[in-house]
Amino acid sequence: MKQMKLTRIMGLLLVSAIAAAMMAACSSADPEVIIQTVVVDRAVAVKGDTVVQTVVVEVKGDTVIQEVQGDTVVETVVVEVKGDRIVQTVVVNATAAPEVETFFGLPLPVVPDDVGTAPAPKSASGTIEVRAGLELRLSGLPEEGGGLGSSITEKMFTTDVGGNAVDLLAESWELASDLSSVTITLRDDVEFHGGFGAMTADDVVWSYNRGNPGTNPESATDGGSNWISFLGENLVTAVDSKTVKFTIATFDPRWQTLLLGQSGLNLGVHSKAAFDQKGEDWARENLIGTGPYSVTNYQRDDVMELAAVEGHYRITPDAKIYIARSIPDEAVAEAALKTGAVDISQVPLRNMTAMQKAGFVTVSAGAGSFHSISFSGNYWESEHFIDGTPLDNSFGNGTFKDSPWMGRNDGEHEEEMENARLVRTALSLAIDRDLISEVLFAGAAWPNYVYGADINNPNWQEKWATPYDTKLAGEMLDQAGYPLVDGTRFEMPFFIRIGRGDEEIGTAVVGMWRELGIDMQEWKAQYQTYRPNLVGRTAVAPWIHSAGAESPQAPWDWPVMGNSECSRGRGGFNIGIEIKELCDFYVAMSAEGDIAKRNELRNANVEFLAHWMPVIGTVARPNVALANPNKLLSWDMPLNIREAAYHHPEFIKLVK
Amino acid sequence: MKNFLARRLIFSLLSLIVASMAVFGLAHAKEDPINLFIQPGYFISPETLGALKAKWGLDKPLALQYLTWAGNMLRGDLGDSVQQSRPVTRILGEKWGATAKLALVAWIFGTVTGVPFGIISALKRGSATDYFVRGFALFGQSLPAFWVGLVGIWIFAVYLGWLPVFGSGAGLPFFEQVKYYVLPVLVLGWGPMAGYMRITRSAMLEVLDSEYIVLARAKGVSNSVVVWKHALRNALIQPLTIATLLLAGFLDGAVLVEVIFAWPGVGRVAVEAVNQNDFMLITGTVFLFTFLFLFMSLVADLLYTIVDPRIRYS
Repeated sequence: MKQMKLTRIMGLLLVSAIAAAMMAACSSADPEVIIQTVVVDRAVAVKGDTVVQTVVVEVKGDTVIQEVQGDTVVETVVVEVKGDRIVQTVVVNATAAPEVETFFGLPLPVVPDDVGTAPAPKSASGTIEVRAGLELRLSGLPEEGGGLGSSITEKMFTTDVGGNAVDLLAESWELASDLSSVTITLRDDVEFHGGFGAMTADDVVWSYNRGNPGTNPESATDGGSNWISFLGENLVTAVDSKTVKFTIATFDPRWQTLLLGQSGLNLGVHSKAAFDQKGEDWARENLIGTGPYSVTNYQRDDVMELAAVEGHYRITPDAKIYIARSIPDEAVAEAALKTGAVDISQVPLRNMTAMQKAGFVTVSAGAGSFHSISFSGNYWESEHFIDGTPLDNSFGNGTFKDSPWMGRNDGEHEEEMENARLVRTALSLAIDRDLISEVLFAGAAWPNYVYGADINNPNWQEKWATPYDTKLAGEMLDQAGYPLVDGTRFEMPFFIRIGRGDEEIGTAVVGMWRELGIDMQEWKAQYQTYRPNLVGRTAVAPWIHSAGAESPQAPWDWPVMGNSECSRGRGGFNIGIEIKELCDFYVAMSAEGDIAKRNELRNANVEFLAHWMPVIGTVARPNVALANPNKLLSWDMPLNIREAAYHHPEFIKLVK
Repeated sequence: MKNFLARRLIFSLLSLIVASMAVFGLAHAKEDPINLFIQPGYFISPETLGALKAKWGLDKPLALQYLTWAGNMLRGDLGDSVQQSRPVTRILGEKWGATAKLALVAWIFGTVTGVPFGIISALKRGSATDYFVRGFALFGQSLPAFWVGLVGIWIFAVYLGWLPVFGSGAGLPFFEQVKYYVLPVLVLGWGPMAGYMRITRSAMLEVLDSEYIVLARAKGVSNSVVVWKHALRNALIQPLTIATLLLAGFLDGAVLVEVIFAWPGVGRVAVEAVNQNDFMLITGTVFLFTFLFLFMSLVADLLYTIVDPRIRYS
């Protein structure tokens, strides 16, 4: 038995030895010495691009192998002359680098290669069903917001695909040379839904005066501070039946593209006749506009059904029926997409790739979002910006020395101001923005360092960035007088707003700041819980939000801040800070007619924010929805800076 | 008997008053609710602010605000929703039907499955069937409803494609609509069904071990008569009386299930009211839930007196 085993082992060894000898013989018979491997790692923009490589060879007969990274060997050249310097021209057969899809300058998630098949849609032909979140709101009263962009109620202007303002309800307009008013002549072929007659100047006057919080304190329309700033307490007036005059309180270069245009501010023209005939209660629940869709069924926070208006003056929608359904839970929304129960839905960006692989296509859903952190409590104004009345900042009693992120800008606490600046900068340096993007948004988000300033904008300057550097952050905190003692530097409350992605980012930031030695006391709740502190000017806990500055796509020369960051927006100083300089920038930019000069002012504004950091950025992200390609052929939405959800369904093209 | 009823009625009223004070007080605890509704950007003069406060009744002392609210409530007026500017009673009325239908179907499901399971489990005490039924009940009581709902959706709607993902199917033909009820009812009813099962089982076991059942068996009464006539009648007292409380629980406890299945009921309204800090809607909704629970408790007490003569004569 033992002998047999020994024989078997010996045999195996013999066979192995023969095999090894044969391999050695073969390799020595045809030696291929690779002296240099040229890796072409240049991004090839176009397939078939020509790449020129210079190769210096040492030995005649050597083989030079050209490789393309991620591709196979393209060409093997046997060198004829020893020591020659040869130049080879190689045509690279690499696949072209994938073009990054963008939406008005911002990158969108890359489409994966292995895409599956989306389910057959369950919605009827000519109908499209989209998912809304928890809230699904419409109101027939201008002061409560209109609805769905310019599709139900319309505005004076809209934007074209290039983001330029074009007339919508306006037929023509004239801006006073001193920028004190704008007179708009209205189209005369616009009819309200439901047989409520033609639109007249009275409807426009009634709608804007009810919507402007300056003329109607009970107005809850979006962007109240913008309206207050733009129109103040000035009433819109009718010059004649088809001409209206807007008297401007503070000129804003966005008057046409944002305030009286687009749909983000959500104040459109409603039917005064419907209100007069049916009363306020009826009007509240029955939105009568002039857009290409009319409301046929609306159950608040449940369902909204719209029907295309036949023979509309500007467009006849391809989707005859548009249904939005409220599905609060994101996982259920994904399930609804996967079963074909809805045709379009927003899903968390981290799930985007998986859903694309399941066959769904991305639809850009409006403007992207910034996620910023306000270092609340930095109320640096001592008197009101407009009327000069003293501002009471007594809430700060005893909080400054315990709140290292806050400083008093009264000229008597310069060291405190500088130390607080160092603290805020250190906290910004301690945020790993790339990690947040990678983990929470599957790489689809990108870093945002300065409040309201996007790194994709051509005007962005790298010197404003605070890249991740915990060592430097620690040194800055030491310098500011907050050394690490028993693992802790200081305690900090932190309000995390639930929803809109702030919760996940805020939680990640808390972890990163804890690693820096900050004793974080986080508090997660709905915005409404924190809001009384903002309105009451008592907010001192830093908080994360996506409020204030406009979206990353906003043009650089727009005066995007100054209404929510200082005392101009009286009654609610909004994001927990009051800084006069930000108002100054707003006023200066608003009054400046030259775009180049506005850009310079914006640069100075960003410089100021990058230095003082009263608000810091975390990440910015696109607003993307997923659609079933078996239903949706295309949806060319114009850019609406203030609009977060998909909009303008009149531009939907359905698969036939 | 009359004393018993009077006592229960007084306790219910006292509970209702205390609950309404707690609800009202908590909704106003944070600070002046007017701050929630002043829009950023207002040029708010003290006069305007005063007018707004007067409109919402926030200019009066809290105690007076409560008394005004309670007085209105007695007249069936729960005030206006601050966010929607509509009467709270109207909002709840619009959503009440969907919640009541779901709760009723879930209650029937829980009752018609939980009670028989309890009987079977008791009769097969110690057997594999007993362990299986009790294990099933244990899962039903311990698994969170939102998790069961999501898993149910992914199994039965996404992978198997048997059931719809969300919604109540309102407006669809009856048989189509039934499909929309299956998952929410299972999710809502599983836990209470398990409760029924456990109560019925323990009641049955207690009765089956009692002397009069032993006597009946000794006298040669057939097993089916012992179980269905003598044991079950007595064992059902407890599950049937708690059925009213369970129905109240279904009505109040549908919040998560309504959110998961996008069911357009009062639970969704409650969640949204809390999110928006709509204090009038919050107080109205919570008061409705409280009233329902106390009312059902009273009904349960009355049922006790009907099915158990000992309470009537004690």
